[in-house]
Amino acid sequence: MKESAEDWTRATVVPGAGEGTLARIGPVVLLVGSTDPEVVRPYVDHAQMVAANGGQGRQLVRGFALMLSTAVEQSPGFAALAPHATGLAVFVDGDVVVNVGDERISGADSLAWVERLIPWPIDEVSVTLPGADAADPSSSYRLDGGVIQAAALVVPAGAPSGDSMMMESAMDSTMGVPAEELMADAPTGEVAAVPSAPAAPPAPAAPEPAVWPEDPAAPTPPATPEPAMAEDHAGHDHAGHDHPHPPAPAAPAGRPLPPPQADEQVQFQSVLIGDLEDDDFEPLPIVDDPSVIAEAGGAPREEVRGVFCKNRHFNDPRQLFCAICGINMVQQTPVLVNGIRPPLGVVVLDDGSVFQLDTPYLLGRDPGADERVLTGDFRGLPIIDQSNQVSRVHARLELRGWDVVLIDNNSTNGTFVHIPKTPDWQRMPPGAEQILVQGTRIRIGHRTLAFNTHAGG
Amino acid sequence: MPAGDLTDQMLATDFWTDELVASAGIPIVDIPFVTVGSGIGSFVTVDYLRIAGVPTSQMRVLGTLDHPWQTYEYLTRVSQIPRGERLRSDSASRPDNIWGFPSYGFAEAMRTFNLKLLWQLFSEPIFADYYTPKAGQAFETMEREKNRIGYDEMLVKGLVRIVRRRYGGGYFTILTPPEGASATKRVAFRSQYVHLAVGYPGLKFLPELQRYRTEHNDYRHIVNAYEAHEHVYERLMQQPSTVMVRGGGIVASRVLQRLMDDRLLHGAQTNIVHLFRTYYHGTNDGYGNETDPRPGGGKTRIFMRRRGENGWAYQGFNYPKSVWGGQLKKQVRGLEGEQRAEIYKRMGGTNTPWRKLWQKQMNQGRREGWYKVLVGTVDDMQPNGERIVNHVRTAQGTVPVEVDFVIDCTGLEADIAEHRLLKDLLEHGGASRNPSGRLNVDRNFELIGTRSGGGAMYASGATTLGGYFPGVDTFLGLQVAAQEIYQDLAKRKFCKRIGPVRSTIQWWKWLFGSKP
Repeated sequence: MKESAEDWTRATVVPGAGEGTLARIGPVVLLVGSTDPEVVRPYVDHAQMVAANGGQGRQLVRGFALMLSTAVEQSPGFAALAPHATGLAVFVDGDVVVNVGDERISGADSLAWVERLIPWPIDEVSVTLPGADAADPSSSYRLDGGVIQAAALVVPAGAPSGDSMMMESAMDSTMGVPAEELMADAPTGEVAAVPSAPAAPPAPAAPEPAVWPEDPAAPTPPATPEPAMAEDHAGHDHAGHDHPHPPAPAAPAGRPLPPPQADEQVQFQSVLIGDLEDDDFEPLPIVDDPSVIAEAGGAPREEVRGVFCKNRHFNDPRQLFCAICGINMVQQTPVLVNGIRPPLGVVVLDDGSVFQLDTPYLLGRDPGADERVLTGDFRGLPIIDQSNQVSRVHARLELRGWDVVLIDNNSTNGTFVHIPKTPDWQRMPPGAEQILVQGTRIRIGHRTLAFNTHAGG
Repeated sequence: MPAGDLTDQMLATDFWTDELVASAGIPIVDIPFVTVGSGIGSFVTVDYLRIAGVPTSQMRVLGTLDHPWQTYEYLTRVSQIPRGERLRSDSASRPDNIWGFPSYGFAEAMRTFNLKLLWQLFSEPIFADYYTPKAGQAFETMEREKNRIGYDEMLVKGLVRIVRRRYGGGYFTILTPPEGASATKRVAFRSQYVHLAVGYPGLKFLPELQRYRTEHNDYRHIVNAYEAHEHVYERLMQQPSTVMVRGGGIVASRVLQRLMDDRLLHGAQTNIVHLFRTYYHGTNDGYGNETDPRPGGGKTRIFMRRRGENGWAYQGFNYPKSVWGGQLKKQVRGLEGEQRAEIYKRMGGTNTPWRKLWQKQMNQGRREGWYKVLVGTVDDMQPNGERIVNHVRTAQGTVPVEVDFVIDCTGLEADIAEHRLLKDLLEHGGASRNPSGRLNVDRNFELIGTRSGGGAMYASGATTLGGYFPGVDTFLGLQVAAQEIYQDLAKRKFCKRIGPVRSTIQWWKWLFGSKP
């Protein structure tokens, strides 16, 4: 009896021979009535995606429903199974028969698909493609993870094979197999090696679809292993497999151990969201009318006097070239008009953090507590420094017209500026103002900030 | 409408009478020669004419720039060539000296007494990279020449709105002075000769860049190489990041060198993803790789091809060297229409000089894996937190590439009709386009179709590319154009001829810095 998602994930899956594709990815089991890689790939991809997200039955059903309702081609007929909190989600399309205990589910009598949630506990589950023989529950074949050719499957009744060596995840699937077998059948880690039985071979060893997780059509450009994509693949292949128990109990001597995983060394405590005691979350507001958001969006943007380039982009009247399209500003007689001020540049702190100057800033040890930050007139730019030379609010950056002005806030230890093409740092007189030009550096305590603007002028 | 502004009647009239301009309340200034632009093109031309004996009272330079190299310096500085750095492509001439002697290299070697530099000049390009001057050297020498010829006496600041032919000969050039500098909104310059050196109408940033900026109001993650973007380098020094560089031209190579310098010398942990649109893997010409099909059939001519590898097209010189005085100059001078456009296409195309140090850095980057190459175009850019997801369309399909910054070095040039003054000349001034789409000039750089009585209008610089003389948008090209214009004006008795005696005397004057 399988009484929970966990039991299901650990259950034995016995494949039956024939024309079709069987995939077992984490908790998701999928049987498709085709062996054409092109046809089968979207289904396997979706199964992988669901497995990577933890194998939720609802997601599986919704995804396949969406896929079928938007697909142009006739589906080859398939069945997919995934556990849910209250039962086993079954999704059947086409002439495929799923038997759960005494219940028979088939898509043959339905115009669209059939989906059911069979409440736990669950007895024997079998899935058979049209025209294929049902798989034999007493067979010694089994699939612990991966994609193989098969036309039927059965999940036998009874307790999950209590074999303590048994690993549920595809990654560790070789663990349940005698070492000699493993050696003899080394090529794929994803397909469980089975003892080579003479009768009714269901083509277990590396059938062609077994390469799917690699996705042959992945548009990887030549000679460019793009880092972001590589991570992406990694996520699909390995992320979804839950490890409810620490893997690798003591292995018998002479058995090759899987390489140790770096992750296992990390100590952490896992807290489910449901266990959190924060019950006072307010749901985010749902807004029907987008104009409401625009009004609520912070302080109103300030207007400045500027000029339009010939392509109607608003610019600083001192600019040579338009900041948006790059056209020379001489193409249009400059006429000063009011417009919303674009960001005037950025301040780069010496740790690399960048602050866009679309609003004034308060700089200091603890600007967040200042009233002006709380009312939203200023944004805080905390300067964390061990030297004890930074005042609570040390200085402020204001935007005036098209200029960025640094104003010392009568700080105890002073604000220093270094203007390009001048030899030295200068301490600003208390309360003094300084208009920043491209490349100006600001020093507060032991921290340095650089002002940069795209205007450049 | 305030007095002294252009009237609708004026805008609709191709030939203006003195009465028409006067009745609009626009004051008229008489001057025989005006040059429009106030950049290096204007500077080189008035320099030539000053040496040919024209006094400053006879010429005016109209434009918005304070000094001739202002735009040039701005563009080189933001594309990573500040004054202390060497210009990227070679400089066969110097805009402050019409004789070209002593050259930048010789002058620098003499001033710093650098024998190594002399050897480089002697052995280039076989044993050494081409010598190029420091940007600052070009600006400082220009400043000296500017003061020598009394450039500031001729400079009138303002925006040139329009040039129209005058009924009875000559031209009216309408200037909009800065606010408050004159009693009326416009001032008209009535002149016999007009010279246009307005340069590029501007850059044209990529449409997806413009869209990203207007949609997301984010100016800091995606920058153009031709605008100030120092904050990117600043940030890269602090945090290991990934940068996408787009483009395969001279600016892209300079930006890459800056990124690599920062990495190798200052310890920045930058990963570079370089996106080419066209990937060159062997000999090529302006049509692409040698193996690519040519529109008119045919193959890359063996004497007109250049080296290429790793995606780049390397220039033999910054332009085929024979355009200056060799067989290519002669050949292009005799070609018309389609044939001329075709040879321009062959010579053209994006390319960059091969530099030893830079090549070493690139190879190291490839070996160590922090420099990667992609080939394709970008369909869309979306912010993702603090990063940018580029949807890059490659031959293998669309891939998402997530980076921290994008530096766009493609720098498309805007069409000449984007320039208001040129557009008006095309519509009302009788000017036309050449086979390459730019302003159509004759062999003496007179704008074809714009003659007005005894007056003539000339143009030089990038707006005239595609004419009978290639390479107009370089220092030497501007000087060649100035020489042709001077010769034409000498025939018209506006200036004296620079014969052997005048030339020699003037060179000595140049050397000692006394007024021409």
